[in-house]
Amino acid sequence: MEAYELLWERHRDSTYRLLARVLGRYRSLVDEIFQDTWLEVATATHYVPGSFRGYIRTIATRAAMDRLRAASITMADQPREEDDRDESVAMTSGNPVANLEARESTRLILGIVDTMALLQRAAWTLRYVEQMTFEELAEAMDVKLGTAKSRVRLANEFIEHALRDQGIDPSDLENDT
Amino acid sequence: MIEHSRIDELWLELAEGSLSEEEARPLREHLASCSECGPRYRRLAAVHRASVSVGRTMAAEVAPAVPPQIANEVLDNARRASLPLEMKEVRFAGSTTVAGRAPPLAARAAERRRARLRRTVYWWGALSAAAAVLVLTPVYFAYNARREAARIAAQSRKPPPATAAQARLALDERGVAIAALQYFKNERSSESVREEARAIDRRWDAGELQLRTDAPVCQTQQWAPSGLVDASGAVALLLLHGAKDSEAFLYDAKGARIAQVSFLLNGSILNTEAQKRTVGKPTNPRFGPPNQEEARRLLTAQWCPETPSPDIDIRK
Repeated sequence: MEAYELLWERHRDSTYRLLARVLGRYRSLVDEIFQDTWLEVATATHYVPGSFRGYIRTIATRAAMDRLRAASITMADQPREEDDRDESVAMTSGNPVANLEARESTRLILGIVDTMALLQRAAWTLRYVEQMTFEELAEAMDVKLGTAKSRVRLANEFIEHALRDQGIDPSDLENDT
Repeated sequence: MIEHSRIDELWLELAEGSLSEEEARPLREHLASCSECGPRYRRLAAVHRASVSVGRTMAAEVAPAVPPQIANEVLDNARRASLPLEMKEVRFAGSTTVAGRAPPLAARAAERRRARLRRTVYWWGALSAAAAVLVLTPVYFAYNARREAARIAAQSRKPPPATAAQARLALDERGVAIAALQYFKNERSSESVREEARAIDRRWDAGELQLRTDAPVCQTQQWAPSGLVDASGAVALLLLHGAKDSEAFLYDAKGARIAQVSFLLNGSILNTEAQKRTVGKPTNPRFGPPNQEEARRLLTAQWCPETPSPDIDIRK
């Protein structure tokens, strides 16, 4: 139990954050899947060599995917829940104007990400926010490496298409962020 | 020549710089010359860089804290999971805690987990049972069909030639039948009838008489050659092998019918003339009807070999 509590102290927040980001608008499921994830850790009967961080991220991601599939939630078919993202986006520099533009750009991209299909959204989040390698991403999503790359690529193409529809040049966005 | 689809497949790796120089160079050359792929790649690469930037920003933000209630329940759940199995066997669905509150979320999570496990076990159990039924049903029918075919084949197959042991067994049964007929002949007939029967026996023993039947029965003559059994024994053999008493007669050497089997059975022997008069007519009331039922009860043997072994001594 001591080892479990030690792991809990080290990884609980990152796991919770991962689930919150992957699940996006389905925040109501985060607590449930978070508990399932740590229950899985508590009752695991075998040890898989490797980092515990990668292990629990894989468990959490797969639990989230399974839960969403079980609920037939595969597309972006629900309105976005209002959250405190505006306040949660950190200031990245001391320049107020630059910060404001960066915040707007981040809000814009995250708004587009929220409208993505679930699997693309999860892949984008795991790749860019959780900064997983493609190998880790494929392991976490239980797919082949090529599929993992394809999902990230499609997520970026989705963003590019959405920006073009809004008449925004991604290069301008790049300067902001 | 680089095709546009190649750019579509590899633009992300190119933007990330994960392609080798040998792979990247022709792509860059194509992007520099293609008016369609170049601008598109630049937009996508910008989106990729923006995504990296936004991702870093998001990663740097303060993580949402785990709600204290959830944290306590997870730890409580983990402690419960580490208890011995019998201590974990608590049903949470629709239950309340001792304090009367709803069970914690962690407990419900454990219950969900068990429910999923039960569903999985039931599903695989049902699947296994269905597979077993699908496999065993044809096997069962094939087994029954083979048994039925074997039974029909055994019925249609002619019985094998009698072995010496089987023939001796038949002879034993035949002895029982003969004894029964002797009983009828000696104990239940008048002295004059018995004397007449003994006279027929003597003639049988001398080879003067033949036993014939028109019924499709076994080769009775082979089983009852004159000189080996008496006349009653020959009749017994005939009946033993399925002849109807009304179809079996004793004939003398000239072919004259001298006695009907049924009268022998009944302990009554008629002379040829009397037999001639009674054939096709009711039995002579002086001796009563033939006691065939009792005789057949004693003649219980059913085995009927087509050809006896030539080396059998039926006297033994």
